[in-house]
Amino acid sequence: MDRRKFLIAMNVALGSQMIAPLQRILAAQAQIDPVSFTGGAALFSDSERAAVAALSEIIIPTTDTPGAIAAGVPDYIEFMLSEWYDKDERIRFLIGIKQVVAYATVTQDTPFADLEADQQTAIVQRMHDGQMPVMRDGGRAFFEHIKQLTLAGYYTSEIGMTVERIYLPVPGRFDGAYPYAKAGTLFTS
Amino acid sequence: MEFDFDAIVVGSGSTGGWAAKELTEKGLKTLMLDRGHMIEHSIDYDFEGTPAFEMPYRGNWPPGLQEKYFQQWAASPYTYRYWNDDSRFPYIDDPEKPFRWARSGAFGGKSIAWGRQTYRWSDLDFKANERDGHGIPWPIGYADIEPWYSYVERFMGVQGEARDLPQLPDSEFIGQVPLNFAEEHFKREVEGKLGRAITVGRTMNLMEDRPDQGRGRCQFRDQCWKGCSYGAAPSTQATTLPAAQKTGNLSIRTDATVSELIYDADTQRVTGVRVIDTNTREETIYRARMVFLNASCLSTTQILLNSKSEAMPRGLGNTHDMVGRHVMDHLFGVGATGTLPGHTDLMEYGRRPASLYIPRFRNINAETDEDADFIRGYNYQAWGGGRSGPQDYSGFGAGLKAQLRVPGAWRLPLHGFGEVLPNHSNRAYLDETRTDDLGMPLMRFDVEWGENEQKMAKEIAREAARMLETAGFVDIEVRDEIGAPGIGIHEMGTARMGDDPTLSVVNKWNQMHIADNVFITDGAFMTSSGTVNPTMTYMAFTARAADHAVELFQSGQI
Repeated sequence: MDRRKFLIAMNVALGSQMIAPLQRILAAQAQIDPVSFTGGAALFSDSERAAVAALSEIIIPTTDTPGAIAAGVPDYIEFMLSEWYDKDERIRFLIGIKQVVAYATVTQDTPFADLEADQQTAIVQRMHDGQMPVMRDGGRAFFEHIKQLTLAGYYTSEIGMTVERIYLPVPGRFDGAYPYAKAGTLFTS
Repeated sequence: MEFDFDAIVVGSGSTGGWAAKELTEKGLKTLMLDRGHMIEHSIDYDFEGTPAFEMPYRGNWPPGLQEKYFQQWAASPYTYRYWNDDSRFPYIDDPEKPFRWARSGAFGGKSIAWGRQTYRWSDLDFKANERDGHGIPWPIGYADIEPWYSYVERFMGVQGEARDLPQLPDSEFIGQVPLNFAEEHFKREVEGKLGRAITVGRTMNLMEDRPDQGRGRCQFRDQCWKGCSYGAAPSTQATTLPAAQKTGNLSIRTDATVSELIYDADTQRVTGVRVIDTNTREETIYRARMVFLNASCLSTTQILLNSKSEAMPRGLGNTHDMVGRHVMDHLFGVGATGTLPGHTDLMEYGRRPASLYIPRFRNINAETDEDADFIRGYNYQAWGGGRSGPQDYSGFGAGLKAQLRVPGAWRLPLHGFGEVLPNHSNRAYLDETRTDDLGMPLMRFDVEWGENEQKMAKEIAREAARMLETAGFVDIEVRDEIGAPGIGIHEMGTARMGDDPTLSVVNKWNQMHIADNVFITDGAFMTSSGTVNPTMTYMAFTARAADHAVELFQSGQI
């Protein structure tokens, strides 16, 4: 939700009570663009980028709500790696993804992203269990790394915050004993 | 002498706002100065209501930015513009005796960022020094300030529950924030089994619209810290500033660092203030008949100590080395958190500006408190509770996604706030060589809590755990390490009030003993710390002092 929509939501909640400065902003303020994650320097090769996307979607798949790819998690991961990570952290991730890509190519003669879903999941399971050859900690360290990035990216994305969870910018009231069944998930702000 | 203004108010936070409102409403041409940049109500609340997906770096600190705020632990990627730029204006923090100075860097001061907890003092607080001999007696009591509490409350709007407790007088409440399920449970059990009053935290948050002030009621968004465009949270911008501006008597200058008050030994008065432009470094002198010092306790201390003249080479009003002494805060960091088993069919809807509060119950009654091994009292707030975040992060795939739709258990954190004693050796002072980017000597602190505070902290932690246990909470985590002084952000006491000019800095009207046209009404005037959050007490004293100042002005005495 951009600031303008937020102010409109406030206006609805307030009825006619919206104060003058808010009305001025509503009238004047240009829409603020949602933050784009395409601005960072390209970091991955095409096959790495495709593998990151496939891995994130396995961690948070499309179910009754959209999954990691629809939520822009792959772009988020590449952006954070190139713009926010320090060098050592970035290299640690890049080694991991290169090893996953190489493993698929060597053992299946197929890019990771082109493997069947059950083959991909089997590789993720092996990392999860620490059973991947060559990789540090049997792949567990890289799995934890991409899992945490995926969760951070997904649950701070617009889809994660407004579709998977219930976005409640202006609750208007407080209920300290609200039935969980009515929400079935968490509220975000 | 030619005066530019009738009054100058140094600072625009909670007390500067009140000083400006009262002085201008009573007809004085007033200049309000603030060292920070302007923050316009609503317009400059950059990240109010901004969800993470619209934040730079999803609400993480943008690379390199946090270094500017390296001493401002309370600053966040959402609020940093309200805080001090430590890269230009640091203080000296002794690693052996750490001190935390949360310092504003913007117009409105900490009034945008504060916790809004609002409690009246009682005579239990005002008489404490006199009773046990620590510090010096307060020259006034509850009866003197009671009408001013009402005056402030009616304007600002305070929510809470009337309980008629002698140790915690009721405010004039409008509405009340509800407790959550776990808090209701705790209240029932602890009131029933231990006979202690449990209530909701009292805060300055509007529960009803105030169209007369252009303020709307609280929407339970939890945006208070980022600036509240509704004006439901009580920033200067939303409350006192519009009132002062309406009079036509207010001038404002931001980016204006007051480096010193100019003292005239012949008239024994301050004739004006020296201002350094925070950006251009250009110096200006403004002259006025009176000055209200509301820069916040430690900045006020810095200005006083830096106001050196031939007559007062140790700083204004500091011939007796009282300025900067008796630094107080509230004990903070100790308490306990517990889990209420079950009831996972319920959760919170909305985000409150207040939560459970446990008023002082200790050292109220000599008979029942014989066993206490410390003097003074403490209370608890309980913010940060409710259902915790999801607990099961195992695995991956659809299973993980489903797990993350389930909030964790009901948690109740009890945060103790304890009274500290005024101690002459707890001191804020100027460094002799190092200066900030504008040439102001850096502040240093020599503050540590004593035996009474240590004993009280142990009991705060122990009693928190005992109450949680009594109420059926489990998995109780006890926190018994006191945080560094300053961490309560209730710094106060460095220019204390008293009748005796040899032992205090201001008189019972907040006037400096040595210059009766200077009024200090931020936390610096506090003679003892009391148990409760102090801001409303500062506001009430400010309104009272301004009323007195205007009387003196109108009768030609100032």
